[in-house]
Amino acid sequence: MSQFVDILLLLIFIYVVAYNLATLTLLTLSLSETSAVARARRARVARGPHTPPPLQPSITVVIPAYNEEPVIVASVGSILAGTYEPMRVVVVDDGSTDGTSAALDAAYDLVELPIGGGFALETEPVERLSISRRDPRLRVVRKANGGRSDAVNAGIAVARHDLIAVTDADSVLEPDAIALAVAAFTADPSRVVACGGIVRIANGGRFVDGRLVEPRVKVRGIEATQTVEYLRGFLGSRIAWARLNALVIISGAFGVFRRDFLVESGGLSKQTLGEDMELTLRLYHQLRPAHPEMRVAFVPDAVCWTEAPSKLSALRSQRIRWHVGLIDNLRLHRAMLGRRFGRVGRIALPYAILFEAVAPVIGLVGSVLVVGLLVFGGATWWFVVALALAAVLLGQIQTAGAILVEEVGFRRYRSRDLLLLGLWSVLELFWYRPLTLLWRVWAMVLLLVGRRPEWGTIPRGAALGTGDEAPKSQTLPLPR
Amino acid sequence: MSGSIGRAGEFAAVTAAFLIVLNVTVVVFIYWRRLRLAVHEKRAERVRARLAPIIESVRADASPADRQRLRDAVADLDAQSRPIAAALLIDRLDEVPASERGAIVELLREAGAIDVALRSAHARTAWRRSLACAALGASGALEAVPALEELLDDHNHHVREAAVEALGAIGDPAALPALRQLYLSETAVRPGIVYAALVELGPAAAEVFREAIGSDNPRVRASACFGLAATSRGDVSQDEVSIEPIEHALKDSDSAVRTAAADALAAVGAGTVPSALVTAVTDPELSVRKAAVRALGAYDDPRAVAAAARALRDDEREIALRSAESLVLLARKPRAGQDAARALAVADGWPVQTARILEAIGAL
Repeated sequence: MSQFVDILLLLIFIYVVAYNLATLTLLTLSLSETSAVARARRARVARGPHTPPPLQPSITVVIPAYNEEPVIVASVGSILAGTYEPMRVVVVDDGSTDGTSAALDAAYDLVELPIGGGFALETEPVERLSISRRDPRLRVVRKANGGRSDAVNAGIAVARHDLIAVTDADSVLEPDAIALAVAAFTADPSRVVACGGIVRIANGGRFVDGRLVEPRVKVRGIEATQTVEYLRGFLGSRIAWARLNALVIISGAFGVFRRDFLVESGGLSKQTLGEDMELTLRLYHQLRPAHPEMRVAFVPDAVCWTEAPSKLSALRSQRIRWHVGLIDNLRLHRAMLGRRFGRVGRIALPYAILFEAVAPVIGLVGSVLVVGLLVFGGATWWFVVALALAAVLLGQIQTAGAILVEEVGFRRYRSRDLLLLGLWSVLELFWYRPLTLLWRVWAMVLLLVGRRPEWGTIPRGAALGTGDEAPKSQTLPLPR
Repeated sequence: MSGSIGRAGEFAAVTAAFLIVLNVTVVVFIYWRRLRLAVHEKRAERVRARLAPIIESVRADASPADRQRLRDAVADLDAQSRPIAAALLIDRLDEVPASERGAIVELLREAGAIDVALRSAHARTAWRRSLACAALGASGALEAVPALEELLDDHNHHVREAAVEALGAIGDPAALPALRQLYLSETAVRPGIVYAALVELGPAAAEVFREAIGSDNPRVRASACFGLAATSRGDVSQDEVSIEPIEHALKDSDSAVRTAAADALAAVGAGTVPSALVTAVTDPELSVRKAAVRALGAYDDPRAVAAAARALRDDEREIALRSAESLVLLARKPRAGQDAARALAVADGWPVQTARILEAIGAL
């Protein structure tokens, strides 16, 4: 028995060391890339706004919306106020039961267009197609409810531009976000097939006219900890994955894709819960064998502010869905493991399997083992304290690294906010990480017994305000 | 077991101690950096306040006193104030009308500012070299071209890109051979950046694009089509020469090149529609057909009307919509107008209705 425990401890130890080495490597890569980009930006900022070269690719921003009445007008307004041309916005009202379409009609004076047929992607029936008289760049599609993927696919089908940007109605893009993302395509048009921007947490930020003018960190743990988590995820790793040309996820909140590839690959999948990751993996799966040079880019300066769940129940539902989606996608694209898909198959997917998909099980086994040893007298208190301290500090070093990347490259937060982030990153180990670990284990249990997680409800809309007045909170029945 | 637990505990304790030091170091570094930046920013504000009025007085009709002040300010520049001065100068040059540009460059040259920027182009840090490139590009000083060409081999790709952009901004055809080499080899600098610089050189770069259209690399051939279109637009004498290679590219074996050629022809536009464009409307590749149908609307030619009217019956939604839009555009043209109006009257399906609504609200 004791030998078995010894071996188990050794394996967990090796796992922890490997995980931390991998994380620190990613952090170092991110830091080096961010530092280079920050220096280059220092020179570029001095030149003023970038002048677009002739024959810029056209882009359509697709916004799927379900019961987004309180935020939709401000959201569309913030995108139309962007600096990029030629651009169109297609809002897809996915069978809302509130006044989403009516709000747009009132604000933008919509005129009905014939629907016609021959859409490039199959979706639930389109009921109404309209264009704004006030700003003809805006089109609104009203369709039967079919879920987020279906709504995005309807938007892609209606759009006719070279590039498609997908964002959410409860997200706010910075004015230059589209231009910055498109620049990744124009700089390397034949290789870049998709591009992601950074998603930052808007909770606590100050909004004026639908724009976030001052990012702040909420004092409340659930929102502050998610800010920390997003910084770790986007700044601590995605920059590095993009540099390795092995970025396997573009966030659903803000991604830009070449439309021809989106249409050819059938649009967003309705079969998986993690449709954003699935799409990115599918692009690699279909394109990389014939085009090894293809790239999925990441532009950390292209910022999308989004609202994080402020209630544990909503967070739980989100995390269970994310983990089921992750495992779904890894199963669906397991054939990509290996050399044929370059670093995606050799590094990114093994990393996702080892350190993301099965991590909750390892974490749970490790925790049970330590508690068992303590209860049955196999370990002393100082051992447990030292172990907990090492775990806290390892987590903390990841956060400190991500904050360092933020500081070197972006400096969006006030000193006070950095302190808050630091504080919650220490505390998260005692409540947030165990909770998310348990939810992810629960997601695996659901998968094992063949049950899909329920979509549940996400209260939202409170964090993204216009002016000083925040919109009313609403409940979003998540699509089927 | 207790032995291994003891060892694990000791290891955890050592790790914890190491991590405490590491964490504290990172936190101290972040706050020290913030403090340093705050101090630096305050100093920068002071420098900016001192230099702004001097840079503001950089005008073609600057008085002798202003010129002297500029000379003194340039002579006083140190490592920390040079980037601030460069940034202010770039902003100032953005506002200067093209007619005054020559006199202003002369003024900067006389004050020694161009020499300072040229020296900074060899600075140790990459961002300073990039900034120097940007300043030289904004100044338009021709003597900067050799230095910028040297920087095309810089080990830092941001510097190489800044040098390419600066060469484009200066617009001296002397830079063409170096840019041509970069464009055709498609390695040291991202191709879109070199493309944009070549386009900025204007008609002088058309020769490079004409050569590139025969490249073995389909990516280069595709962007060369756009390059030819961009460098010939608005120059009728160039159009005759430029359209022919683009028309030829419509028969390329690579569909991406054919699509680019059709898009490029849409950007050129003219009186007589190229025959290859009419043929491209029936291309087996959807992307080529879409681009070709859209391009038809840019030509004042009854043959374009006939091709667009045929495309109205295409099963593809986008082709039908684009052909209706092209017909609406053609209906406004003197030669093709009547035929287009007749075609629109006959074919009154949903694509035409859509195009008419778009026209009514000013979206076409």
